[in-house]
Amino acid sequence: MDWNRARLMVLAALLALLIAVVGAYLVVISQNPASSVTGPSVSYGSISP
Amino acid sequence: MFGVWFAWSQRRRAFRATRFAARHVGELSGLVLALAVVAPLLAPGFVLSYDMAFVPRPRLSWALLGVSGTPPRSVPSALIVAVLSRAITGEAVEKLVLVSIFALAAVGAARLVPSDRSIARVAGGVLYAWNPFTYERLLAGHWALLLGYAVLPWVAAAALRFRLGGAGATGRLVLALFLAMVPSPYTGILAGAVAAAVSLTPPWKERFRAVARRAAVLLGAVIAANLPWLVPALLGPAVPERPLLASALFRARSDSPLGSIGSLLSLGGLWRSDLAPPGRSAGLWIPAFVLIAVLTVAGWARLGGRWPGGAMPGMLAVAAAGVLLAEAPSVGGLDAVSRWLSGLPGGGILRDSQKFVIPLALAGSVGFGLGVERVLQAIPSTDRLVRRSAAALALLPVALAPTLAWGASGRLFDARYPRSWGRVEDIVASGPGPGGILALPWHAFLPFGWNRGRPVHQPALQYFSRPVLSSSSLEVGHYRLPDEDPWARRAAPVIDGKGPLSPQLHRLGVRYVVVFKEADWRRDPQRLIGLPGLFDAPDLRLYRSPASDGVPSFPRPSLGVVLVADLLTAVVVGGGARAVYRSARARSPSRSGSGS
Repeated sequence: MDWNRARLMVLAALLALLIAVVGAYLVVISQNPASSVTGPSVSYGSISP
Repeated sequence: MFGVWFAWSQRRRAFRATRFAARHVGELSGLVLALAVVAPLLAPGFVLSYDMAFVPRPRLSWALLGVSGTPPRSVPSALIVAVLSRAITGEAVEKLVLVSIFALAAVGAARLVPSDRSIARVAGGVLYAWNPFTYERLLAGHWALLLGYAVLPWVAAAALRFRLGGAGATGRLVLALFLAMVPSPYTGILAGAVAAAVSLTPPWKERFRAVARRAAVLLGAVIAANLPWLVPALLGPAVPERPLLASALFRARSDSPLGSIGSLLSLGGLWRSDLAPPGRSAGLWIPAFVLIAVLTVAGWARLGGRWPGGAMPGMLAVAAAGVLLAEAPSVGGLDAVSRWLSGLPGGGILRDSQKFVIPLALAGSVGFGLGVERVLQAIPSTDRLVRRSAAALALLPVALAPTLAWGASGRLFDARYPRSWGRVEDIVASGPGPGGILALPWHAFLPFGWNRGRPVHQPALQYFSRPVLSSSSLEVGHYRLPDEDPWARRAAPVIDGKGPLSPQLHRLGVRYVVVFKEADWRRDPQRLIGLPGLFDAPDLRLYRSPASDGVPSFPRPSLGVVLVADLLTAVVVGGGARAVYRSARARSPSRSGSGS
C-alpha cells in the first residue's frame, strides 16, 4: 500500500466515523430509544416478513 | 535540589506509565471499551431484557445440572451463576458478566492479531467487541452466547498453539474449549468447529499419522469439554418441537439496505430486526463498513504469512460455512436443505441462524487488524498528523453501531425487584407442605411495569425457593411454540382453558399462586375465586391453594450418569489446567535460572 492511498484511507475513516456517529446521534435523539423496544407485550418478539 | 529530584521522579513515573500502557494496550483498550458500553449499567439493580433474567439468589436444584425434562441450554452456566450469586449476589454476578463479555472479547481478539503494532491489535479487538452482533445480542439478553463469543478468540489462539505443538498446548486447548462451553452449548460447538478448522486444515508439515493423532486428541477434547450438556441432551426425554416454524421464525433477517446477506456480512441480521442499532436501516454506517471490508481483505492477504500454513484457510472456511448456514433459511433452494436439517434430531441448534456469523466476526477482526497494520506501515514516520489520525482506523468499527455506547444509549437500564417479591419469598419459604408456585399470567415473558415494560423471561422461575410453574411456550407475534417444560405442558390445557382453576391446582402440584399484575392479568383473579389471598401488593397478589401432592415427577436423565459425565469433564479439564501450570512453571525465568 502506498503512502497516498494510506493517507486517503485514514481521511476516509475519519469521515465515515463522523458520519456514522453524528447520524446515529440524530436518530437516537429523534426517537425515545427506550420505547423503541418496549411495550405492553408478552411476546418474545415481533417478526418482519 | 528538591525541585530537580521531584521533576526527575515525575518524569520517571510518566515514562513507566507510558511503558505499562504500551505493553498492556490490548488489555487497557478492552477495559475502556467494556466500560464505554457497560458503565451506566453498573449502578445498583438488575439489567432485565428478554433472555437476561438475573435474580438476587437463584434457586438451586438438580435441574441446573441438566437433570430435568427440558433441553439443557443453560447447563452449566445457570449452576455457576447460582453458586456465584450466593457468594457475591446475583447483581454483582450480572455486572461481572457484562464487563467480562466486552473486555474478554476485545482482549482475546487483540491478542489473536499477529502484529507488533498496538493500534493494529486494538483495531482487531474493537471490531470483535463492538459491532451489530454484540449490540443486537446484548439487547436480546443473550448474555450466555455473548460470553461464549468472548472466549472464542482464546480458543482460536489455543488451537494455533495446538497446531504447532509444544508443552502445555493440549492442556491450553482443553481449558479454552471448556471455557467456551461453560456459558452456552452453542459456543461449545462453535469452539470445536473453530479449533478444528484452525488446527487441522491442510497443508500439514508433519506426517498424516501425526495429523490423525492430533485430530483424535482434538475430538476427545471437544467431547470431554462438552459432556456436561451433551449427556443430559442425549439422555433427556424428547421435547415436542415445531422445527419448521421455529426455523422460519428465527431465521436471519435483513435489517439494512444491504439485504439479508449484507446484513449478515456486516454482523447484523438478527431475526428481531427491531433490536438492530438505531440508524441501521438508514445506512449511515455503510461507508465505514466498506472501509472495514477493504481493510479486512487486505489483512487476510497478509495473514497467511503470519499464521502457520493451513490455519488461515481453515479460519476463512469456517467463517464462510457459518455465513452459508446463517443465510440458508432465507435463500430459495438452500431453505429446503435448512428445513430438512432443522427436522433432524439435534437440528434445533440451527434455529436462530444469525449466530453462525460468529466465526466471520473472528476472522474479520484478525484481518481488519492486519489491514490497519498495512495502512500504518505505509505512512512515513515524519507525517505525524496522519499517523496520529490513524487511530481513527482502530475506532472505525464503532461506526457500525455507535449507539452501543453507554448502555446501548439508554436502551438498557437497571431495575430493582419490588419489595413485594421478597415478601412473597418469605411467605412461600416458611409455608408448610410440598408443592410449587403457579406464576400467572401464563406467559414465558412478561413486561413488568417496574422494568419499564421491557419483556423479560419470567424471573420467578429462579427467584423463589419453591419450584415455579410458568409457561415455557415462546410467543412470537401470532405464533406460539410448544411448551418445553413437561410440567408446563401438563398444566397448559388447564390454564389455557376456561372455568375456575382452584379444583385442578392440587393435581398439578401447586401450593401457591402468584399473579403478577401485568399484561392480561385481570382475567386470572376471577378464575382463582375461593382461594385464600395471602398478600396483595400494587404489583402482585399471592394466593394459597389446597394442600398438594407435591411437584409431579417427569422423565429425566439419570442423576448418576450426569454426575459421572461431569466428573469426567472435571478430570480432563483438571488435567489440562495442570499441564498448563507445569509448562508455565517450566518456562518462568525464576525456575530456569535465567532471571537470577
